[in-house]
Amino acid sequence: MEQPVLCAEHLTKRYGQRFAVQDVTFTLRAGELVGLLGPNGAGKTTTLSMLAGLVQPTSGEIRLFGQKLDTPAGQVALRRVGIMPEAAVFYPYLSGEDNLAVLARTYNVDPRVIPSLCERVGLSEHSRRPAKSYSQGMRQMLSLASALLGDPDILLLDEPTNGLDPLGQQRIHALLKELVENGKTILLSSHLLPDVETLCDRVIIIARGRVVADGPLSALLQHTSCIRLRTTDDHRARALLTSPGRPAWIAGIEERENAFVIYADPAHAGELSAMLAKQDIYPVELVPQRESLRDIFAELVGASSTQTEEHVA
Amino acid sequence: MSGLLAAELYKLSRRPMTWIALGIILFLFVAVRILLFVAASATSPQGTGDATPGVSIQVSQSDQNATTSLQDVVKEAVTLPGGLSDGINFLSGLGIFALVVVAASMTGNEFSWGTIGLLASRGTARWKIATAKLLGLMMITILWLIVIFLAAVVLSAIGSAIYHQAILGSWLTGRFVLTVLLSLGRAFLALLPYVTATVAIGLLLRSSAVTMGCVLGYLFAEQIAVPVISQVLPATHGFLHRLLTLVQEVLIGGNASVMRTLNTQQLASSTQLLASSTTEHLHPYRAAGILIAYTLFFCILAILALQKRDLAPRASAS
Repeated sequence: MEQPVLCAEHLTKRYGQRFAVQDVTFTLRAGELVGLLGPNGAGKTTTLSMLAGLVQPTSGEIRLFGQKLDTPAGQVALRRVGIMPEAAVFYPYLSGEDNLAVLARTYNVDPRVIPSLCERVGLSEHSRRPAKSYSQGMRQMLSLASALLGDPDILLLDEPTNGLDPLGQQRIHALLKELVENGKTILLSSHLLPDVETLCDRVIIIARGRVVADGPLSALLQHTSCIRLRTTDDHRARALLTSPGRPAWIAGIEERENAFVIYADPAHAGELSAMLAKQDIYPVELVPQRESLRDIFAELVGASSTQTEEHVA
Repeated sequence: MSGLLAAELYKLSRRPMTWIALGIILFLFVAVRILLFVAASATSPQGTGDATPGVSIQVSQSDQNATTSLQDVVKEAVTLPGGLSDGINFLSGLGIFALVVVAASMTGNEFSWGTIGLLASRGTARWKIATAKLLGLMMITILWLIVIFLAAVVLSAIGSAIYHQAILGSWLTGRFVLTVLLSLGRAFLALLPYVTATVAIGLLLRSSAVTMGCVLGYLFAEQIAVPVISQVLPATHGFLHRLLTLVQEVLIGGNASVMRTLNTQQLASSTQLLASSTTEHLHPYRAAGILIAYTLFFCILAILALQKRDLAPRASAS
């Protein structure tokens, strides 16, 4: 398997007695677009800042392309990491193009790439205007262009579609997909769950500074999909569904509110109905339930809060 | 490093505040010079250069009996070569306030705009960012010094043409040019601790307003403290005397004043008599050494202030 391009191991950041990030571990591989989800104050921005070398972890380790971040080689590797902060960051008195020129000089990037970069993010028409006159969307695009300067291999994007109109969002989605197709690795922090659901193959969910879920989006969704069932003969149905010979696609069964909750892909609903009918058991209620990322998010984040509160208590 | 310095100079040169502040200093300098022209004309309506007996004043430094005509003093201050010392010293006198404002906003705004995080990402060495900032502001200081000096040359040449009917004279020698260059160097040295202190405090406190408050507050306090100490000093004895002497010797303003006094003394003949006597006992080399020590201290502080600190991106306003 390909070596990870970014490896965060047991990252912890503490401000006084408060843990902003606690024991966060994950890896990113080349060409992955990973969503970083979490409620406000969960530690997403702190995590991104640590990965970009802007915030020193209290403990833990970051490796970029196999190099420890706190070594000279790690600092060289950081040149291949572009960051787009949550709030658009720019020199207000400079034009968009001049802002990029300042950063190009700072990063030792050829400033001749600036016009094409502005074109790429849809800013070329406005690139000579002072950045302070930009709309929120244009500011975001300028911020994204700053992150893309020098064609970095890893992009850390904090809420890139914040404040964008649907067209702007579409442009960013298309750009991110294109970047990933070209082998770039993107860690996308976002509050917009539909964005993450559309763009990302994998999600990392952080709550209260800890990783509460990390895996392919499809696997997360599958684990929480179910079929709600009530039958004409619940007693026999229970025996059938819990028997050792039950189909393998039934991951588990629970009884909730006078109904069975069968953990299985809702696509098997028809098969389930036929299986019951063979035994003269007929469904009174058979409802496939596919949970959205929003539901999973709420469930995991809520569970984490409860656990933390219980722990504190 | 060269890229960072180029970026810093690019930002400074594209910033309206850099030129507005310079424009204000130039305006003040020209206004003061015009007032002196008016004063010179009022004391000598014909512009003949004769002393007007009624307005002669007594100015003393070491010799209490030395008297100089006010007319001569004013005339020397607006003509060549005496008029140059004013131009060279102007920035480290009145102009320092504008320079501090520009340096503080240039440093503090990097934090309020959040741009410091962008500069420090991509593995840019933080000591290089601080050094580029220090060097960029030093270069702007040199530029401002030269611009005001050139303004002094032009205005003094005009004054010479009016009062002496000649612009150049026997004073223009290779040695004089060297003296001018040395004076510019001394003026620059007198400014350096303030510029570097502003950058260091800006990087430490991360706010242009607080930095301005600290440095300008110190400047005002110093403007009051230096004359007060020099007045009080002769009346003190023992420990208090030693303490006040030490304070006077280590204050940036006192040592900067030595540099300015030297400039005035070397570029003018009679106006040297106007020089403050508060710093005459300070050795110029010691003063230069103290100013260099302050500059180095603030440079190191600026670098350390940025080196290990977290630069978390600014939170979104939305």
